[in-house]
Amino acid sequence: MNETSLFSAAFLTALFSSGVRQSIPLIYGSVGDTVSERSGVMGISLEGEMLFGAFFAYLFALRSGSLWVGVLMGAVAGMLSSLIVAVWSVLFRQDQSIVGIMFNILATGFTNFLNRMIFGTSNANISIDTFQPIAIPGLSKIPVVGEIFFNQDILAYLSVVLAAAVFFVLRRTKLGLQLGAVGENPRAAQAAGIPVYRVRVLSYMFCGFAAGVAGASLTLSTVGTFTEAISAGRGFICLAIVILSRWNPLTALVASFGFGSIQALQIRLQVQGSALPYQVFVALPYLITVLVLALAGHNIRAPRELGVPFEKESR
Amino acid sequence: MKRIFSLAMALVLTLGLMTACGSSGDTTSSNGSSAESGAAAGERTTVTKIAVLLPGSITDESWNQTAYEGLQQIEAMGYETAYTENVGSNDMEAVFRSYCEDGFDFVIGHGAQYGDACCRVAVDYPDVNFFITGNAPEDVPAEELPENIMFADYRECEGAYVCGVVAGLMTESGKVGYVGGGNNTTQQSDKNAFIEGVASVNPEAEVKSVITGTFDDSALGKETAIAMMEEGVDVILQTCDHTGLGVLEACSENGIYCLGYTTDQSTLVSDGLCLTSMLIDIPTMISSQIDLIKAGGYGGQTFPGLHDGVVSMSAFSDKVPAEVAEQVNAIIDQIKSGELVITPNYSET
Amino acid sequence: MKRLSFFRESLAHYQGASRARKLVILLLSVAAAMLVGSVLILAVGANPLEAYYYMLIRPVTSISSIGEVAMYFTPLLLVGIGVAFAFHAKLSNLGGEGQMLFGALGMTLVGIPPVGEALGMWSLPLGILLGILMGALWAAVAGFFRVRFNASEIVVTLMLNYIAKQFISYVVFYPLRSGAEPQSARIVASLPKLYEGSRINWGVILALLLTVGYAVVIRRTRFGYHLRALGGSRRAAEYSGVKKNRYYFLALALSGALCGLAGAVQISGNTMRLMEGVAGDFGFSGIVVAMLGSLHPAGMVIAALFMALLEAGSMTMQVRTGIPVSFTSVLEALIVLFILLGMAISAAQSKRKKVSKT
Repeated sequence: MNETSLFSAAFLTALFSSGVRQSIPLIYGSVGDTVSERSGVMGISLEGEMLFGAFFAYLFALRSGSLWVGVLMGAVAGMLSSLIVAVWSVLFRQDQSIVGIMFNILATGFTNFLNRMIFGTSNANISIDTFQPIAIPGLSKIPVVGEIFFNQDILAYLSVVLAAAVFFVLRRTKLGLQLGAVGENPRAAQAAGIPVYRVRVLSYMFCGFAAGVAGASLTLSTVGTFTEAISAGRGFICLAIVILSRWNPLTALVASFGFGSIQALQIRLQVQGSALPYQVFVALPYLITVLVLALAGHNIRAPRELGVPFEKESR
Repeated sequence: MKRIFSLAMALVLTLGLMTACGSSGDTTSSNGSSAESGAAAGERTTVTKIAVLLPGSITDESWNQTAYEGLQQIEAMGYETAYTENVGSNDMEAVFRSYCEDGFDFVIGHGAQYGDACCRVAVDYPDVNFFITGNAPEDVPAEELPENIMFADYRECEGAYVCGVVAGLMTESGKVGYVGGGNNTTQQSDKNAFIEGVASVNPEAEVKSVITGTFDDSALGKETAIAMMEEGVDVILQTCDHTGLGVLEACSENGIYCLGYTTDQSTLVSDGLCLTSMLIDIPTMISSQIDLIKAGGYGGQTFPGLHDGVVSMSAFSDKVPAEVAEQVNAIIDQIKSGELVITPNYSET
Repeated sequence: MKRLSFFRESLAHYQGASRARKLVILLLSVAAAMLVGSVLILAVGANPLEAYYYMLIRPVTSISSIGEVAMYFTPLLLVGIGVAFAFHAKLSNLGGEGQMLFGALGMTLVGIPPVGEALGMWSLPLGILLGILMGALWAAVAGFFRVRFNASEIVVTLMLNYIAKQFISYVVFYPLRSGAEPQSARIVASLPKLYEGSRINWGVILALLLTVGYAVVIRRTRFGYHLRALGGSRRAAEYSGVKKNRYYFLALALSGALCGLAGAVQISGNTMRLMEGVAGDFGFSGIVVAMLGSLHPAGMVIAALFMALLEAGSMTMQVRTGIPVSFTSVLEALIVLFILLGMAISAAQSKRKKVSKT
């Protein structure tokens, strides 16, 4: 046990590149949820959409032999499954938390069911080759930083592109303004001629799409196979990240990286050996999230109509 | 006022329903089990229907799947079988009771955590035989334990010790790793025996251990294994089901040795990197219990291990040199003959 | 009361619509769910009629199986009314699980030897009280964060679940461990049974009484009035002199108190020992109870009964038909989703009727 290694360049490089890897599903999930929450729909069901994405991404990647087909189909599966939530909570105006909770139960059971129908009880030995890191010429040669940020797989780079694109759309385009209007004051939005239901359903489908990619990243860039309940609570972490980042996709990117890094750190602290019980380390990421929320949480203001079903005025 | 009234009505209805159904069903439930199982009271020497309670999912390639597949072999022998997955602590008693009510005459709780709930149920179903794959609750006096339960704390730790020996002999860096899922007696004694096994052949070697706190997060398992490799670990034992599958994936990708758990996991890892697996022979375990039941007077405590064939080691991969294999086999023989005794150590190290 | 406006409205419409019509729509939605479920059951090679018999009817045919339904009913109802208090103030308490775990810890601390032996029978009421207190305190952490830092209670309660889980894992592994297995010793005094030959216990009565208490507090007291006012419109409530922060804090603490009680009941009526996972999924399914029951006391009792029947029934179905647990949960979720659909349709129907009348 050499304590000095804790702050060596090699240790930090390894720590933060693991942090980046672990943050990828969180980035996709939280960026997607940012969009849908801006329009007023909460992504309690993120967890379930991730599972659908993870399973179908694995299935199609395996069957087609192409990782990209897998990612695409995972995203489509996430999107289509999110339609259930959208129909129930937007069109039928049911409470989003109950629909989300039920959807998550459905998704867990259904993906397990499909997994066993198709692969029997043993799919772990049908593993696929995952996405490999791509070193970006030039940038990846920068000491420490290069290895951490510029030697990742393609889904990592795309997650940054997605966050930036969503940031741009939300801030700079008419679509973004409409989205915000629907989340802040749907009645006024409707009066201004914005199709409230359509915007909410579409933004929620986008969230499902992103969650599908998040799931795909678990099976296709990390594990290489589907294991039951593989999302393991990441959907809920995304919800926390969205609030922590104040509905800003770029901040969500940073917050996801932070969470991933703390997770990477807690594993490494255990590896280094410690007298503390392991439960302290497992709880560490959550403890820090709560503390950050306390320190940086002043004046958080959610979209005003977040979680409120909207009823069209009858004319 | 109207609302309060309607509430009161609802309460009365609820209670009414419960009492009404209660009184009508009273007579059937008390003798339901013996009538359905057809066993003569107090004899408990027949086995027709076998049920297993599992703590996790049957696709984990490990603890639960081994039990599930073992159960299927038992079914092929002509018994009626059933299982319930993911039985958590608040459902344990309910599931035990469901099976007893349904006329199952041999109910197995796969894990020491089921012991306490089983004790409460076994008293109500004296005609059913129970089998717990773990210790009896230690704070319950032996004379208070129901007679119809057999507690088998099988010596999985003997297998873990052998794994430790293999790891200790095979490591080049002098660093080996253990990845666990959570805390229960089996996990704890496995970890301690593994460390002991490593130390017995390679006192200088260091064991790095991580408890992930989950049995379901394969992505986290993979990152955990990677973190260990960064520290120079070159042999890893995992005992954490789905999470462990991620560990195996990382070993496979990075060319690091690993050791399989409860089932032969060599097919999950490329290039023979899975040096050997400790195997739990569930069919042997269950069928030996059935023999005991048929002999009469079933119950008590037993500690089957390598000696009884319940725990065994799979064939070594081609990465294991002959002299290492020889040394390991010698140790296995010592344990089998009782020359070397591995006592389970449940305490945190 | 924006968040819940739909439920309030739908409830109002619901009460306005003809009773027969409501019932027909609800029954139709359950039938639709079962029809979809049948297709899936056939796909796994089981008999749908048999499966549904074991899921919905068998659990109420004997006293012992009704006792099993009650084992789910009690915590579901307690968590349901617990989160309902918070929902009235427009707060989402997703931390029922963590609060239950702390409630369970409270019960255990008083219930196990040596404290339990010294107290004898008194360890039961005292344990329940400590459970309530600890549940309330754990929720009060979220309340404090909400009031002091304006931090979203949704995130804090969710995160506190993870922390509570690890804390309980630590507690049963180190200080409270009894024997080899990571679990506490057995508690000395458990909740007395209502009938011999069944697991049904006084927890049920306790939960039903507290539901009456909930109705009285929400409808008949200043506190309840202010809580609802705060949920309706924060500004209006502040004008009328409601101290917003105090009520937020109290609503969350009260919510946690009931979840804590649910945890204490789990220990004293079900597992008898503290171990990991004693809270099950009740933290979330309790929310379903509150919402399905539209926060209405009688509605929540019915919703909890229904959910408990589904939970116990799906267990029975799994045991008897061999359909895997993961699959029975799909059926459960489908049924609830279809009922929500039925509620939405019947609300829309009665509304249309009203509009056409005027």
